[in-house]
Amino acid sequence: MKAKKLLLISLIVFSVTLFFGSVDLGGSVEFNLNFEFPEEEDSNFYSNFNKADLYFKFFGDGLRGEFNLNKDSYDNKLRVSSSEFTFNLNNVDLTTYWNRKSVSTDDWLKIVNNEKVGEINGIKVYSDLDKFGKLNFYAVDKNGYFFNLLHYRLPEFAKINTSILYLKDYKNMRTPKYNELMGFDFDIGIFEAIKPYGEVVFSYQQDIREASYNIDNNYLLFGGVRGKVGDFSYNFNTTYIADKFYKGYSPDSLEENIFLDTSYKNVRLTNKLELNFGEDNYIDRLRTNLYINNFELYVSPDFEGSFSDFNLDGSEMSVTYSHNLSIPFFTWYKISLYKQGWEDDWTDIKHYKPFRIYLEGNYKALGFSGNMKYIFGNPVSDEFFQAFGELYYIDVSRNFNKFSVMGKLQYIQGIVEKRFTAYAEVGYNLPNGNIKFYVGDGDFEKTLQFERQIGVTTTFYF
Amino acid sequence: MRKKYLYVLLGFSLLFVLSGCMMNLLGITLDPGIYLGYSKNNNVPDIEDQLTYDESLGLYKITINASDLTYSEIDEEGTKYYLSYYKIFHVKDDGNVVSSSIPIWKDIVEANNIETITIYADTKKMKDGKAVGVGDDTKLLQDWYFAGDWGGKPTWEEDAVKFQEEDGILIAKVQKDFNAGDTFEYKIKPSDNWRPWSMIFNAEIYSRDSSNAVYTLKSDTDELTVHFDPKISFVWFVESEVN
Repeated sequence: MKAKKLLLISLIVFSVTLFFGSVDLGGSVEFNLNFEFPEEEDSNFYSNFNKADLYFKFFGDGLRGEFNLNKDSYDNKLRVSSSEFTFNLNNVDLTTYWNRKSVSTDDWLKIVNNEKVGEINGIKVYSDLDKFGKLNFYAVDKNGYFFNLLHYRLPEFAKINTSILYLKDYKNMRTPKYNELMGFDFDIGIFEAIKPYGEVVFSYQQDIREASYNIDNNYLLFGGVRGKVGDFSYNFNTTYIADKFYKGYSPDSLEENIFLDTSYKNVRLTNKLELNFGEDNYIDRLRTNLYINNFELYVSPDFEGSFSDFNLDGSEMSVTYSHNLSIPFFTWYKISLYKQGWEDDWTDIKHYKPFRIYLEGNYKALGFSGNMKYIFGNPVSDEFFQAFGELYYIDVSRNFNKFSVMGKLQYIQGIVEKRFTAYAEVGYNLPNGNIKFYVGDGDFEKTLQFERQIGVTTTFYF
Repeated sequence: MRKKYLYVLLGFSLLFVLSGCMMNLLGITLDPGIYLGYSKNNNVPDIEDQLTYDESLGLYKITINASDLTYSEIDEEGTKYYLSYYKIFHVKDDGNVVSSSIPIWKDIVEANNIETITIYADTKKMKDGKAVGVGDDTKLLQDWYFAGDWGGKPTWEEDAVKFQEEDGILIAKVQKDFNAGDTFEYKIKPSDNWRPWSMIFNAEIYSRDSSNAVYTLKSDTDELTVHFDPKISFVWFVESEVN
């Protein structure tokens, strides 16, 4: 039964390729099949084909689109998991979405974030009204919520750029809560030396039964000034977020801070003070980066509330240097040293607070090229190996005529544990596409130990 | 000029060769036993960091002071979370078994005014490089959600099943007509919105980018009960019998 399904998938790939090939469209079809070797012996052979994905992309006159077909893990049915089609009509683009994360705005703060809005079904109308500005309008369904967003960028007038945006979502009378967001941003570019810019946003959640329209403390202010005088340039801004500002659709990185960036020729200095504004301002930490050519210095003092509560143990510092080389074998290298806090006694490295030594290099020899890395630290990484140890990494790749080969290895030595992983792939270029076989999982940050899997990916262009 | 490059090359290779045995040079050795590596001992355990066997529980355990923990700032695309990682080292003659790093979430420790934390290990369940068989009691004080795609509308983003506590074990029930051999993917979320991502559990490790766990049904059933014991990071399923 399941063998037939695989045959069916292949048949669909073939016929769709044929169809798009015959109607004068350009595009590509990508097909991936992955097989994982089971840990338990009694598991079903076909269920280990845990991925079967098809990606179609095409473009033609006034039309472009893409959609994915996936084998559903639950019942093995092939489904269109997401799609996006755009139709161009003179000055208007009409886009339809199915299960896509695609709602976002391009104001200063990018206040509506596609990750936060999530997957939607619906349409977007984009129109370039030339002398009357540009308009983006979304009318979509978001998990049963009717979600509307209008972003209108006014025509530039005397080097003044402005836009307004309005968002509203609503479900039904049974869930009477709705969200509303209104924003305005500006950029005044009249004088090269002083360019003020900023944004004001109101965002709140309302109950339709009360509808008090109380917008106290639902606002955000962002503003600053940037400019350039000769070789000197600067950028200064502040973000203030009132207590009840609704952040449901805004990027998670939206936080209160004071930021100053200055640069002169090859020297650049950035300072970011992270804090919470209030009656008693809570000062969290300062992050200072100094860049001089290939050299970078990072200093981050930790303040637990105020400048007088400076905490040395939580403070961080790092120095990084990278350089291109024109010698045999090595073509580039990077050295970085990181330390958190200070040690009373520097003799026993085993008991240091967090530290890291990082070396990286690119090499090229005998037609092979690649990258290697060495990290020694405690922890080795804040993300993938949060313990004391050392990491070795090397990759190598080479092209032979129509073949391309790539392989990589990683070994981590902890105090008593060892973690080893590898990945290899061989690709072959066809006249209008390519085919690739692989072994293992190439995402080493995701899996520190070798994944017993093989797969094949084919791509055809038409 | 060329000599300068030669020195750089030599220096670089020397560093590689010398540092190649850095961990061996440090000569960290542990006698057979079960150890806790955490922020207080800078991830290098000593005799006093050994777990002891609790017969009534059938588990090894160690109790530490919450005030001894230091937290790392984990930046998840702009939002900062404070997590303190620990590891259990099971050192034995026939091959060491070391768990993956397991996070303790500062917000939970502070919200519950926790003074001591007990860390547990079930050596029979422990797997090298995985969190399975190792956990702590702070994980019972936060909400966990069972999210996945078992047919119908996937519950990854919305309608994930919230675990309910029953005698120290977390329980989530999925009602649906399953057939033997059906498979589905799932993950356990540390909050309704997945945050902190670094605490997402896939029945093997706590990580922000691990792959989904897969469960294969053994029988025809209309109710699947998911059991999650966060004090040893262990997940198992019970399929109710259909009359």
